[in-house]
Amino acid sequence: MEPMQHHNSSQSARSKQQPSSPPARIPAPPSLLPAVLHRLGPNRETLPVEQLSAALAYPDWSVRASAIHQLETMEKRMAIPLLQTALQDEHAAVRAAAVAMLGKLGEYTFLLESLGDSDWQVREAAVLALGMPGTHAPIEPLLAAQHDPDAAVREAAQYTLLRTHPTKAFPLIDTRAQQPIDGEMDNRPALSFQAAEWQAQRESENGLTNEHVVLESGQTKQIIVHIGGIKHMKEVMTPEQMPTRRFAPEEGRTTPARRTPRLKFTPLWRTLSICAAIVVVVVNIAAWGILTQLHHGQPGSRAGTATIQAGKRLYTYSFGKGKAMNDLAWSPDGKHMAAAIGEEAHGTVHIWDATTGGHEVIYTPSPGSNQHVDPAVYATSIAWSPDGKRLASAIGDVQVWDVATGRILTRYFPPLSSGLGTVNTIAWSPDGKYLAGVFASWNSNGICIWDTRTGKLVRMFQSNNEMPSRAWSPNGKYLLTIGSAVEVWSMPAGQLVSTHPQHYVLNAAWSPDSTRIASADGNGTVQIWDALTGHGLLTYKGHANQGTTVEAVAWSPDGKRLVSSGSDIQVWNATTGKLIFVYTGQHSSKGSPYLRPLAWSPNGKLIASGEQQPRDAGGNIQVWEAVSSNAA
Amino acid sequence: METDTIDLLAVLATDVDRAFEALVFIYQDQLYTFVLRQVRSPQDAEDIVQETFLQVYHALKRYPPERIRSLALRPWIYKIARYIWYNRLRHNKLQQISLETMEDTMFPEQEEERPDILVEELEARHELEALVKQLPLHYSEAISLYYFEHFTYQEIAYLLNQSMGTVKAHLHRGIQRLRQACITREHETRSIDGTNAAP
Repeated sequence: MEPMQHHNSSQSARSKQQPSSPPARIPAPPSLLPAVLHRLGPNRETLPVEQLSAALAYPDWSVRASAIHQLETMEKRMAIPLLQTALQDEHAAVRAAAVAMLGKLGEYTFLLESLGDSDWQVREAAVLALGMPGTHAPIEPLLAAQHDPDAAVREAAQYTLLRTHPTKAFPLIDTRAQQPIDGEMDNRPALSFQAAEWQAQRESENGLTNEHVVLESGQTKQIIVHIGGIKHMKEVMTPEQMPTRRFAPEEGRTTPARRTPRLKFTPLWRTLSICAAIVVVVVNIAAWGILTQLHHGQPGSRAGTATIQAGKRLYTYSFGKGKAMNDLAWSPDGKHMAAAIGEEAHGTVHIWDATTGGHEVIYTPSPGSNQHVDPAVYATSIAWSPDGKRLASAIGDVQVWDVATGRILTRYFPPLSSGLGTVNTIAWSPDGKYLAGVFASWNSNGICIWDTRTGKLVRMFQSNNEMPSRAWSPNGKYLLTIGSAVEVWSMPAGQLVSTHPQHYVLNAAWSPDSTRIASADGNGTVQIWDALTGHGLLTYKGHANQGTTVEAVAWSPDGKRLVSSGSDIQVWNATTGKLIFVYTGQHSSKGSPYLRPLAWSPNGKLIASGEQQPRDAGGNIQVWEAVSSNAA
Repeated sequence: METDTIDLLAVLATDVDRAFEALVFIYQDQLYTFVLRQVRSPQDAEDIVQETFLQVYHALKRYPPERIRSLALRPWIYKIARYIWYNRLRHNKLQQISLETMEDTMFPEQEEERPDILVEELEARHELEALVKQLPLHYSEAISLYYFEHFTYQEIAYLLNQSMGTVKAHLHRGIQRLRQACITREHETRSIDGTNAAP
């Protein structure tokens, strides 16, 4: 057979955007095709029925899968037990083949279990099999499969529903993207609820309740939830029952256990919680008294003095290999630190005591039920509400958490008119009444602004910038976006106020009085400029000779100093540009061009600096004492 | 979708065995290139590609014909390959070998090109790929698929099981970091050159 030539349509259309290094195509080894055909050789032979059982035990999975394809020739009552055994096969392709064959034989009851398989190919096969003519399968599993974590399974479910129940299928996502409905919010909660309800009912019927309590003690309950064949463990606790584990100064640690706050209180639990809380408070007061006494007795004690030892590290918060940090924020009252940290694309929100590094809780965003955003919602951006009671996290949709209870208070979804946008970064207005989310979609970028009192989308702006970042001015009048240029927008009018010409801006921050902006760039400089006119006021070049970019910059709360992060961290005078202090306790990998967020504590005494190693090789956040105001 | 792909899908929908060899022939080089870039071991890459085509064969055998006709073939094959690769990563089945030993295997010499230009291109490409590999996985993967494999946003979203907004976000952030890495590398090179040039 003559091979067909393959042309890639997207290649020419996007040729202008390509970087200068298109890859060479590396020829596959000549042995590849013969090897594939050789392994498929036995698969193509039709085996006698009596040899099919033996083939199903063959070491090569491909032979086992082929034997399943041939079970069609066997008598149904003999084939079904073999297929049931094959459903337990270690190789997903064999399980998928068994599922497909059971569908052909009209045995849909076995298929329902396979919808919970951990492998997307098996779930996809189950969905397709449920749509086989003569299966007479219920529609609910297919409706639920439209919410599967995997795109191929969702697509298969839509395809099957369009064939079997055309009115019940969600429109395919492409069609929606091309026909946005202006201002329309997500309007499918009823259907997703129906699917979730069915899932719970099915598991209950199979003797698999949705949640299995596996451990219950005076402190916590661990709950295992099975979703799509994946075991999720939740440890349930009350805020009062949070662990009193503390980190010793300088102590590093890895992989903290996931904790989510309590989901449900019984009267007994409530009583126990109150008792536990009282005990904890009494013990803490006593301990504080003892510690205070001890400190007063030590020379050089910090207690009761204004002496601040610049650069003295309070603690190091480490996160292990495979995890990445995306954002870092100090709570407005300075008591807590929050960071978005997670494995690859599944970041969770971590909150801990900002001064000790202890008392950590982890909020895990729920999987999205909205088909317009990622099913696997995770956090890459976080923002505290000005009153410190709520914490917003985003990517995909925006989730607002009650910090005291760990419950999700509300979620905001980008409207369809955003072109199925995904919210990537968020910011609260200084009065806490509005939340801005910067979205990106297949065809547009922009900002959504929600009224947090009503939950309604009140403004939406499109931006010419490729992917704007955001920062609301402290006086609430302006919003800063960073993309191919740095721009200031008036709020709520949404008019462009100023543009600052600066290339490769990586980070920018408002001065506390909202008059200046400090923007850090890839050339190793930080520019301070007038927010309303865009005119440059000062260029700081402290990192310029380090051969590195300036990834982050943050103002001190009094607006007199700035801290910036290059291959070291420098604190400098915001008016004169004079270097005040260099922190070298971090960033040991010189020149490592990875995320280094900075956050100044609200009282100006501490600085938190983060470091992310290349290739998700972990990293750490260090909290250290800032230089005193007098030195500035 | 290209006419040739539609033709291939049409044949596959009626007779998988008849068109399967053509499918392997069409996709083997690009798939091998893609996988080799990720795993950097020719032996692992060959194993993964072979396993991918076997799984493709069996999946096509069980798909209804209409499903085959509606397939986005290339992203679907890459998705399977990526899944196999991830499974192997999870079970630590891959052997990691150094970039230096890869050079000859990955970029075989082409006689008709000028050796000096070839060496220059090879160095630039090698350097860029090394920088991309240093990025967090979700960034490097998005960049490889978009810029090196020329998938569309929509195809990458399907392949990586993400929304298009997320794909764009990862691409943007990945490119931003790549740009920083390039600047840093440039500074380092200049600094080394300056040191060497000094008397």
